Formats: sequence, C-alpha cells, structure tokens
Amino acid sequence: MNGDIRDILQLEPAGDPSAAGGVTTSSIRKAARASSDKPKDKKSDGMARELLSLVGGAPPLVLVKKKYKARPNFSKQTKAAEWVWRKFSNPARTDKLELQHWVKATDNEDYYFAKFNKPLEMVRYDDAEYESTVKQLKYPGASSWTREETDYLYSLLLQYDLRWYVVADRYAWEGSVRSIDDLKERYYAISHALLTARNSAAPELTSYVFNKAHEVERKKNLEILYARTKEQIDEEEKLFYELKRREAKEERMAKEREAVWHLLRENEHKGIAVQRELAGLSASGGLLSGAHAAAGGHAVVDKNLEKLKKRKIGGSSRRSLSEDGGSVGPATSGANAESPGLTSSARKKSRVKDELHATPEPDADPSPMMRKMGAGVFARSQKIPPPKALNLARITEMMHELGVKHTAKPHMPTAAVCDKFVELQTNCQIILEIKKASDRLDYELDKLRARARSVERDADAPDTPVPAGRKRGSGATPAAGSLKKTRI
Amino acid sequence: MSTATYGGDEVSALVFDIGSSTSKVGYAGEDTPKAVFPSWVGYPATNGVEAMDVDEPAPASGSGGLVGEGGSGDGADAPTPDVVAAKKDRRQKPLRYVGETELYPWKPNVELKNPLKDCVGMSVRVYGQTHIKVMRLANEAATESGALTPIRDAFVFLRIVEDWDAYEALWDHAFARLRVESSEHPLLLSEPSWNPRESREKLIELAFETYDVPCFYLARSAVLAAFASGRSTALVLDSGGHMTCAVPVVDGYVLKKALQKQPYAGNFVSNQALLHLTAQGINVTPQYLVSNKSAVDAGQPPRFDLRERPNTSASYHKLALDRAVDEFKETVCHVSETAFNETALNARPVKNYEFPDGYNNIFGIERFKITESLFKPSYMLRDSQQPPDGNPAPVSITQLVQNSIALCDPDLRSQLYPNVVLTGASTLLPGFADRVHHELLSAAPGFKTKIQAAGQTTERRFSPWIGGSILASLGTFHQMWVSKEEYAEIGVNVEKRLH
Repeated sequence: MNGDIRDILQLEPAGDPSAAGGVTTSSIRKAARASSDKPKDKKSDGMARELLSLVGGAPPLVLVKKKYKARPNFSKQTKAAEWVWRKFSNPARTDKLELQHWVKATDNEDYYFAKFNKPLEMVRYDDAEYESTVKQLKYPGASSWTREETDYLYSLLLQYDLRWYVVADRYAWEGSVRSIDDLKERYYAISHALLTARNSAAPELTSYVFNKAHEVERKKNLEILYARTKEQIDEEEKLFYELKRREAKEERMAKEREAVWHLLRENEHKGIAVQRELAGLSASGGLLSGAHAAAGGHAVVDKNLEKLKKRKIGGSSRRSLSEDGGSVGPATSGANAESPGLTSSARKKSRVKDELHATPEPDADPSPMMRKMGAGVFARSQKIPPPKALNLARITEMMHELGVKHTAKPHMPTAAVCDKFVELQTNCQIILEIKKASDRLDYELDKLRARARSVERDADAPDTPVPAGRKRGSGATPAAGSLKKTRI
Repeated sequence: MSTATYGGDEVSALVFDIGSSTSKVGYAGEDTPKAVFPSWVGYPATNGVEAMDVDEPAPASGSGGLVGEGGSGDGADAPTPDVVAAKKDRRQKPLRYVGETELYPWKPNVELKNPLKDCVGMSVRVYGQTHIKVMRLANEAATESGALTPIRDAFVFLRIVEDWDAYEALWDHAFARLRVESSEHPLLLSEPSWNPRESREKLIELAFETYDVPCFYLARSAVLAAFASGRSTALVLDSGGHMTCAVPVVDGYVLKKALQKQPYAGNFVSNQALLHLTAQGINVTPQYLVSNKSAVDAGQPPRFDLRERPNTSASYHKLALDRAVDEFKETVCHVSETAFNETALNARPVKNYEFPDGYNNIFGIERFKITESLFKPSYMLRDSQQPPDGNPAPVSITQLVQNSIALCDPDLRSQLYPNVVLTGASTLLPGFADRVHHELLSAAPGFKTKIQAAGQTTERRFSPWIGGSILASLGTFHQMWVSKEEYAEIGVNVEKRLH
C-alpha cells in the first residue's frame, strides 16, 4: 500500500524496508516499470493508452516516429562535380559562331540542342522538271505564274517552313495579288505533278491534293457563321434546345405507352387464367413447392416427380403448372422443363406434343416465387416478392377492404396460399397502375377538350359537340380505348 | 544533362527592350530586367566633350553620333579600319544624362530628347518587299506640309528611332548599368512590330559596327510578349506609352498585313487627364517648381512657394509635368468595366488625390471620363491651342482588335479570339482588361473570347522583355543569332533573315 502510494508519487521506496514482501513487490514493480518504458515512449506519440494496450507490444505499422533528418555525411561523398565555362559551337549553324556556356567538365558530347534542328523536306523542282512538268500544269490560274514568281514562293515556303499564314502575309510580288488559297493551290498542284512524274508512292500523293474552290467556299461559309449576331446565335441555341427537349419528350411518351401496353397484355392473360380457375377445372398442385426441392430431399423430389408425371400422363389436370404458382422445383430435375408462362393455347399445344421433353420457351416467365428461388433453406413466405414501395400503402388498404387481415405475409403460408397471395398482390398493383394511367389519360383528355373548346369559341364556329368516340374513350376502360386509338 | 529538362542553355546574353517611354535592359534567363530607365536623354547646353564620370566604366566602343548623324544614311557601307580604330581609341565622349538619377533632378539648360520620334512614312512597294520610306516629319512639322493631307491614307504613322545619337546614349547607359563589355555578350533587341527595313538595318549596323557584339538578334516585341505568356499564336494588344497596337502572332511570326495601330496610348491618356484637369481649373505644378507647401482643404487653392528655376528648358518642364500627370493618372484613373453609364459610375466611390503643389480634391466621374476616350473616341477632349497633329482619327481599342482579327484568315480567327494577350503599361489601368473582354464578347458573339492578362504588374509592364529573356536562354534558339561573321558576309541584308 505504502509502496503503491510512493509509486504514484514517484518517490524512492522507503529506506528501511519493514517487510521482505514489501521489498519484493517494489522490486518487481520496478522491473515492470523498466520493461514498460517502451510503451510509455510510444504513448508520447499521441496514441490512446487503450488503443496501445489493444495493439500490444508490437510496433504498429502506420506509426512512424517523427525524427529530424540526419545530417548528410559529406565526408563520405565524392568531390562536387566540376562545371566549366566553355566555348561551344553549334552544329546546327552554318557559320563558326562560338558561344559560351556552363557545362559539366565531364560533358564532352556535341551540342545537345543541335538535334532539334530539323529542316523541312519539301518537294522541289529543278530546271528540267520545271520545263517538263510544272509548265504543263493545266489548272485555271496556272498561266498567271511565272518561273520567277514560283521560285519566290518556294523561297518563302522554305524560309517559313510551310507556315502558310506567314507566307501569305509576307508575300509581295510585283504586280500580283495572291491569296493564301492561290499559293496553296500552286504549291500542291506542283508537288502533285512532280510526284506523279517521278512515279512516287501512292500514299504521299494523296496528301498533295488541294481543292481551291472547296476551300474558298468553306471560308465563305465560315465568314457567314462568324458574322451571326448575338440574337441569331441565341435563337439558334434556343431552337436546338427545343428540338432536344421535344425528342426527349417523344421518347418518354413512347416508353410510357409501351409500358401501359405491356401491362394490359399481361392483364389480359392473367384475366384468362383467373377465369379458368374460376371455372374450377383443377385444384391441386399444393404438394410440389420450391421449398421441398430446395430442401434437397432426393426421395421427396423423386416421389413428387413421379406424382407429377402420373398426373400429367393421366391428363387429369389441364391446369397449367404456372397457374399453380410455379410449384415445380428448380433445375434439380429435368422434368420441370415445362414452361410456366405460356399463353394458354400455346401451352395446350405443347402439352399435347410432348409432355416430358418440352423445351423452355424463350419468353418463359416463371412465377415471381420461382424467379426468386435461391439455394439453401428458406421459408416460403419469405420468398413472396414485396409490392412496390410506392403502392404499398394502397395495396395494403385494398387487401384490408377485401378482408385479408395479414397483408405482409399470409397467415398460413402453404404453397397454394402463397401463390394466391402473390396473385392478389400483383392484381392489386395492376389495378392501381391501370387506375393511374386512366387518370392521366383522363386529365390529358380534359385538357385537350378544354383547348378544343377554347379554339371553337375563338373561331366562333357553330357549336359542335365533342366527337362521340372520344367521349366513349374516357369511359370504363379509358386507357385501353385511347391507347389503341393512338397506336393504330 | 540538366538542360534537357527545361530546354534552357544560358550563354550570358543580354536583352534590351527600348520602349518609347521606358527602356528595359537585363540579362537573359532572369525574370525581370536588371535596369529600367526612362528613354530620355539629357543634353547639357555646353555640349563640350567631357570626361566620363569616374564611377561609370567607359565602354571601349560607343562614340556618340558617329554613325547616326545623317538621320537616315544608307546603311550598307563596310567599316573602314581607321573608323574602328578611332572608336576604340576614344575614351571620351560628350556628356549625356541618362537614367532617373541623372535625368530627373533639375539642372539648368539641359535639353531632353527622346530618340524615338513620330514620323510620317510612305509605304513604297519595291520588288518583293514593302519598303517604308521614312520622311522626316515630326509632329511640329506636320502642319507645314499641308500638301500631305489629301493623300494621308497612303502614309503610315511610325514611331521609330530618329535620333541615333540619343539612341546610342541609351545603349551606352544600358551597358554601363549592366557593367558588361558589349563585345562579350550576345544581344537580343526587341523592336516594334512595324519597324521598317531601314530602321532594322540601322540597328544591325549599330550593334555590329559600334558595339561590336559577337552576335545579335532583332525580335518583334509582340512575338516576345506572346512568348512571355506562353503562347506562340496570339493576338497581342500592346498599349504602351505612345502606341496602341493589335498584332496577330502566328507560330511566332507577326502577321504584318493584319497589324493595326494608332498613336493613342498612355501618353494620350495623360494628355487627356491634363486637359480634364485644366478644364476644371486645376493647374498642375511639377514637383521641381515647388519649394514648400502647406496643407489646404479639399478643393481649396493651393498654398505653396514657387522655386526659382532659371534657364529651364521647355523639354525638361514638359517631362516634369508629364510625370506629375502620370502619377495622377496611375493613382486615380479607372476604366469603366462595361459601357460608359454616367449614373452608374457616379455611384462608384470617389478617390482623393493631392498634387505636388498641395492642391487636393476628390475625383469621381472624371476618373472614368479620362480613360473613356480610349474606348469611345467621342469622349476625347481636344486641345484648342494645339494644332491638329495629323494623326488618323482614333478608333476604340476593341475595334482595333476586331479589325486586326478580321484581316486574318478565317481559319485563324477562332485561334486568336481566345488568346488575346494584353501587354504594355496602359493595360494596367484598372478595369481595362474587363472592358476589352466585355466589348469583345458582345462584338464577336460567335467566338470564345478570352483575355490573357498577366496578373502581376511587372509581368505586364515588362512582358516583351521577359519573352526576350526566355527566348535568348533557350538552347534551340542559339542557332538563330546573327553572328558577326554572317554580318561581315552579307552586310545589313541579313535583316531579311530576321523575320
């Protein structure tokens, strides 16, 4: 106790140890303190003690202790590189000018920058070629060029490395006014003719083609483009954006229409299925479920398969498997190849043809639960696809109205119940979407009608009623009616 | 080799940029000129040949006025040995005052001269070359030659070296300030973009014959300004002391046919400021005439004592007055950032300014009115006492830029509008760059317009010099120098090689 207090106060242990035990504890503590000196040092780096204790004695990887950079050891280094003020001549120059610069004494190579001196390679003519080739040129302005003027042009081109703007700017030949295009035409025509005469390779030739009329026209158009006023530019921009906007709108409308059309078609198909069920043609299929197959009991699967085959062969069931909500297990066996999403007529046909070896149709649409099937054990009700979050509240409300108490999951999730539940949910959703589409169309129709009315009023025409067809269109199935009209 | 990284290779070249109002000289490779001094030379009345000042090392060469005496002598005569010997021999030269410390303090009977003069030239087209025949016509002489008026369009207005004696004095001073021997250093000299052939030949001759430089180069100041802003293609709007010009530069070459210039720049603004002040009844007294002054309230007449300054030359007084007005201009004047709108500008804060004689007042709308004449010539005040100087009617600076670009090839225009480089001290008037940009935007809506104006004052003032400093320290440039050998071979005709 006394030793602890002394430790805390960082005092020397009492001079006269009263008990041997006290001595031992304090000596042990001392040793511990000595051994814990290292962590203490690390603590000064700004690491929390708790963290330090977690990290333990090992040095953390990211922690780098700040240190002053060691002084460079000059004694070990070699002598400083020697630099000398030396004369040099530039090989790129034609004369013997000698300038001076600082270089490393060891540096004895040629002038470094001389290699950047790249003279231009131009197709040039000699006397004979001028007579034989250049003089024979037959483009419209060729006759106005003399040999002297052509030489002058070439001297300028050489001096200014084919910088046409500069050459055209400096060009001053007594008695002739040449535009940049005249000069280019001359040069390219000569180069082309010379290369052709020399039987040069084809790829070079193509780069020596110059169409002056085209250039002049292009520049004229550029001038017109540049001469536009601010208003014109703004208007053009506005029109451009308007076009973009309209295109986007058209695309969106087409997409919406497509969606609604798809919805209706699906609904039609579902409606047939429901009718058929109402007719009570069959009522079974609760036995086979995804859960069974996924559970992996081979015996069970085999038994089920046998049952399925028996039933199919017996023809007792005309009801499609899909209407059972995809009760066949996933691809664990080959017998479930029967596609569940076919239209009824196609389904009938395929079933008649080959019950066991039916190939899956490309547009096969497995039931929502089938689609969601994954590996491992799961509860059936877990696999019920949740309705769209947007419509969730309204679907719940609708189901309550229909007397379904448990709207999130069926109370008794057998396969049949689950399938029915999903079907109900989907139907609710479809109804809601149809309602939405119909509302929108109603609204648009109203708008159009209002506009028509105002137009009629403006025109002061005799009062004509809105066409009957349109009125009917806004009736019981507004979406379908108007859509068909617009699509056809 | 370390040079490989930045392409530089120092050969201890010198760079001179002798402007119409200030000269900038220094060593290539540095970022600012070593010495900046006014381009004025003071001639004492005695004009006797006196010994040079002891602290100034006398250049071995540089006899004043030996070559340039004739004004426009034919340049091609080869140096005779005895002339060279005479030059080498002469350790004495007539006394000239150059540099602020010699020039600005008052001295009696000192005539000041600016070596660059206004000239009327006539462009003459000779075989393959456009020559400009310089006629010795200074401002004052323009009136007597009434005959010129009907064919004025054929004349070009130049600001070129006229007084070669004074010009040499500037070079002498430059070498003295840099403490170098002219024969040991390559020399790069900037020249105005419209420098006529005769003038260039003369400069080449001066460099090789009088100063014996090992190699020499003449570069257009617009090209150098474009280089200083990191561009080889640009439209350089240079508004300096005397001339405002818009010069298209393509690939490091000036397009001479599209060059536009007018003698309305800093001096013109100063003159306008003076006219505005006079119109307000403010009399500007230069500092050298004020012996003491006492504080007065704003707008009250000044209370000061005139200093007795007998035998002051008119040119000295003019320079002193100009300096006083320049100070006022640089402190107070402002360019309206958008079109001139008096009510809006009246709401802007006013500025207080005290003149050398103690008179002080606040300046509001005048600040903008003075500079507005650069952009709207109709705001220009005319001096009723001064005879018409024969200068062409001014156009707006923006119009100058537009005219210049319109003269270029259509393909070039879209490259020039986004690269309008501002240089020259007059562009440092606050609001100048904004105004040019604003006007160009509305004048050329079909282009992307961008003004490249260096933010630093020194960079803007010295950009031709900085460009020269960059150019002369490039390793690849050293093949371009005109060497003494080349000059000996071809003579002044070597000018053709310097684009």
